[in-house]
Amino acid sequence: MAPWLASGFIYASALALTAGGITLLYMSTRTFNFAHASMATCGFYVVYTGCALYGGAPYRYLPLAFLFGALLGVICYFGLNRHLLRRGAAEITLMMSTLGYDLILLSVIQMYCDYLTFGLRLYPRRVSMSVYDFELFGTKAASIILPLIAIVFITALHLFLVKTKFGVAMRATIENPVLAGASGINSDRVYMTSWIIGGGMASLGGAAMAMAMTGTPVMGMTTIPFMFAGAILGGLHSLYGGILGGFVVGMAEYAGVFALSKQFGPWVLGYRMGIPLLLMVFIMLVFPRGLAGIPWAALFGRLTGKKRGVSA
Amino acid sequence: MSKKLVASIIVCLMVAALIIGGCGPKGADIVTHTIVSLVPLTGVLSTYGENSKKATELAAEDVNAWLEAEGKGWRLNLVADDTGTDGPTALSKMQTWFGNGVKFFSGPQASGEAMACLEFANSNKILFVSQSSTSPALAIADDWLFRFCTTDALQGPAIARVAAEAGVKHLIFSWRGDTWGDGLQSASAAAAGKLNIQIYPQALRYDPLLEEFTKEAALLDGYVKDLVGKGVPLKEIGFCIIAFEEIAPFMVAADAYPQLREIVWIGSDGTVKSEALISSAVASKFAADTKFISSMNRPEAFVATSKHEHVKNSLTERLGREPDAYAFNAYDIIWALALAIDEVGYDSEKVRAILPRVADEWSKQYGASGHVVLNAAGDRAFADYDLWLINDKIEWEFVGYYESPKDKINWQRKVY
Repeated sequence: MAPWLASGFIYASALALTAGGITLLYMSTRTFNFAHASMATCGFYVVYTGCALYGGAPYRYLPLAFLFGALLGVICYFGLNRHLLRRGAAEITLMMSTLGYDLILLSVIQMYCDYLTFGLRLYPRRVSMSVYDFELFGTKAASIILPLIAIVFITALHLFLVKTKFGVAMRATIENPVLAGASGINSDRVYMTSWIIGGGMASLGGAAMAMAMTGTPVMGMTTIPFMFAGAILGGLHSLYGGILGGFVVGMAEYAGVFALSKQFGPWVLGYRMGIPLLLMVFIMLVFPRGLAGIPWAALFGRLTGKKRGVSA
Repeated sequence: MSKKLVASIIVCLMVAALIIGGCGPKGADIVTHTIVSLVPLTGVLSTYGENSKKATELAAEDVNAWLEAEGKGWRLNLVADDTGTDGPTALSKMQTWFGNGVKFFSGPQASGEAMACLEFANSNKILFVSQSSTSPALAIADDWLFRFCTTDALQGPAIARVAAEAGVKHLIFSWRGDTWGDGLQSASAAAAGKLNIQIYPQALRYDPLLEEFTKEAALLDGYVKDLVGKGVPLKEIGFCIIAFEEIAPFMVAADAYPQLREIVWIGSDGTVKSEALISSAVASKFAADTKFISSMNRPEAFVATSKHEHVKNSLTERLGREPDAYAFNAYDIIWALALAIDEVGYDSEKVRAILPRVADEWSKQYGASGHVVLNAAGDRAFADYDLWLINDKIEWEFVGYYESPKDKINWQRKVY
């Protein structure tokens, strides 16, 4: 696999996780979580700290990154979001509160980097996590393992939402909170669980992202537009749409930009950020409900029907 | 007791109080003047920013010791503030401090940051002196920016000469798409052209915020393949990358392409002594294998009274590593500003008028970066360039220097 394509898969998988987390939190708590940026960065620093201090492959620290993100999500929920939701705060208020939380986290990250720099004599402000990776089937292991982890995680999340009693209660609360409350579902637990999963997905995504790009204290801030682009492209009302949207945006930024630069020259690279966003605008113009609004079943059904018709 | 006696006692008491008051602590009359050091403590110049911060702090300590020893009536208050290696942030910090009455700034470090601050500084008569903003685009007479470094109009020929001595016949460029990168690339390409080096028509100008370079490395590999396909040997292909500390991820990405190890890699002052590069196992190995060579302002020959050794030893102790050349400029900036303020007061117009003379006179004897002579544009007039590379022990090594007037490299050891 070409190195740029391998990086594209890693980056797209990371965006799928982070965009999925944004969508989940928006669907369940009406909150556009800006703190996703620093939560993602925290995930990267958990893995980096593990690798730098204790050695080993980065993958062994991913569960820890997820748990740390979940903890940050719980803090955000109990410290901010819960109180605002109870007061019926508007979406803009909910969103701005997470921006404040993000700035606090960013400051803590900077302090932590100072500690790593001056206390432990590490170089944490510009880290290529790929140096801790190994080769698998002649390519970067991360380009195989991280997409697999994303798929396994998303499948587990799907099973949790569909097969477990609490998952069904969660979906019910997301779709109709009033009715769910009247049915005796504890919405507080549902929201908290959303923050645990959403925060965990952000950190896991951030840890994965650093395997494709340079990890810095502002890594999350520079990639948050793409996380949101993925969530919006997914339609904001479908968890799976958000995940798919993140993946599409990530691949567009790598494969799309690279293909265009090969075709039209390296000047295209300067528009690296614009191209996936343009793709998002185009899809939203054609399908206003995003990728989740595309009648996939009907499209596939039509294709299947044609095939049936042919065989008949 | 008569009224006259009471009045006399009161008068005596008042006089005594005045005398006692006058004998109070000397500090009561001492005023404080502030200079803000705008340094990139985060972002792609953070290593250099940290070096410059420590250098300006050391200078402030030395200045205050001197002021106290001389019994002067003021003290220097130095505040370091982080610009994040970002122009708008640097401007915002300058505006905030100016709002608090500050008229003198050391820094910012990067040309893009200095460019962002220039208009506001010119409009408000704010004097700022950069230790490392080298873009030729900022060589402007009568502005409010002074620079204690030379412009890249001098570094461009140094880079071209290195390429020529390495036997390069075809040079591919990649650079940060900002004021500094554009200026240095332009100067280097022009100088390379004069040495009959062919400039590859495709070039990789990248977004300064870019943190991931797999696409750029893949394209570079394609360009090299193209030249090889035209019969050019790999050893005659040079790649000049004008970058800051993003050089490390660039090299990590390039490591995936074996033929990129065979070409000549050349850097600039943005990559000399980069901590990001040396602390990355893959990138530093790649740099050592390709003899990645970078140029940096060469301090002039020092007189016995120079502060160079004092600054070098103090900063090495505080930082745990040797400082870069621009940190010495930063030290001299604080001294020059302080001496000018001492002469004419905290008045930016008056300080601006005498700063070139003060810098010249002081640095001739004490300059940590050597003798600072400023040209008509307020920039350092002369400089040679030291050449550094990462050796097989993965340590930065000084391997020679480029003499600007003679357009010649004096090698300390054989590199090519």
